[in-house]
Amino acid sequence: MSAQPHIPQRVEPDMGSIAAALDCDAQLMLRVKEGDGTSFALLLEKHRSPVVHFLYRMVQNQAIAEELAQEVFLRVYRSRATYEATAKFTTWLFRIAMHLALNSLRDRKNERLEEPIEDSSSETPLRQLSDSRPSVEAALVKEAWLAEVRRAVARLPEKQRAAVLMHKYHEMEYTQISKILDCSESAVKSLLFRAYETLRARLAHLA
Amino acid sequence: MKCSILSQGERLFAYRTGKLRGADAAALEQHLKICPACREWVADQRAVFEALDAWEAPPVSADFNRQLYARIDQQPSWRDRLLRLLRPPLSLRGLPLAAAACLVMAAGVALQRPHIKPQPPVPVEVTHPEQVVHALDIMEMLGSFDQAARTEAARSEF
Repeated sequence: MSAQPHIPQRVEPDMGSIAAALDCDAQLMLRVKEGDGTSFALLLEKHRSPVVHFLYRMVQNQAIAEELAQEVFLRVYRSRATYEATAKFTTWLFRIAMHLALNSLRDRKNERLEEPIEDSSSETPLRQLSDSRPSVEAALVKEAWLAEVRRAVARLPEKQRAAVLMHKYHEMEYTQISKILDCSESAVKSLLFRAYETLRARLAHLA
Repeated sequence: MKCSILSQGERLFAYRTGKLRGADAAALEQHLKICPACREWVADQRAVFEALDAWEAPPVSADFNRQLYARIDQQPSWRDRLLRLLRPPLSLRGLPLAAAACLVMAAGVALQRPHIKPQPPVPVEVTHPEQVVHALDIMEMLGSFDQAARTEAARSEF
């Protein structure tokens, strides 16, 4: 794959295309469509962490999240020939990610009921903290507290969970979330309100 | 009596998520000063946001890209497979050049050949059965004349 020297000009007059023309990522994807591997590498570098983190918080398993994220970028790469910049690139990207996450959650539903939520304490070993007893205790308390947060999020209905994660961690507007979840903007407001109310009820005792 | 703003909830939520601005936000801030229930709601919601902030995702594996590119190479799409099939092998890369050279040589040979006028078609003689029978009759008659002449010559010798 070789870098293409020019940026394709978009001439369609519709608003979606104008918005897409302003979207730098969409421009990069159009270059990928022309066979530019460097643009794909740039898109991967920019969106790898957000996609993996979103998937990690959705499925709460790092190995599965990375596997799904690879599938997301594989699909992006394979769809390059048919890509049309009619929406924000991240809307398309997160739409793919969300569908894969929901499919994975449904496939693993029975397994997840039997297995506890992944304990991420192994990812942030306590050994990194001071060996003094109060710090270890504080770390354990914090870990238990975080486990409760993770559990509260995991118990949210799938769409509410996805909406909260996109709103809280990716700072997406209601309009974009509505496009990803394929629902109205008012439905997103309602989803978010109910989700945060549920979290408030479940986590109020932690405050 | 329960606060009407608290029972609706959405206005407080909009305020907490920064969607309430200007005069609406100022009015709600005034209300919060006199309503402990709404203040508690906002404080609880802030705690939820802080709890979510504390939940960090682990870093992405160092070999994520390597694995991805390996998958891209291992599983080419139908389009890539088709392109690979249509792409000529190295041994055939010079084929178009060779074909062009052959064409030029053939044109040169054709131009150097003397101009030959086309020959008129040779008429084909068609023989009918009656003609064949007639010819055989003549041959038989000539044969009998020849025999008679030989006999006459022999007699004259004696």
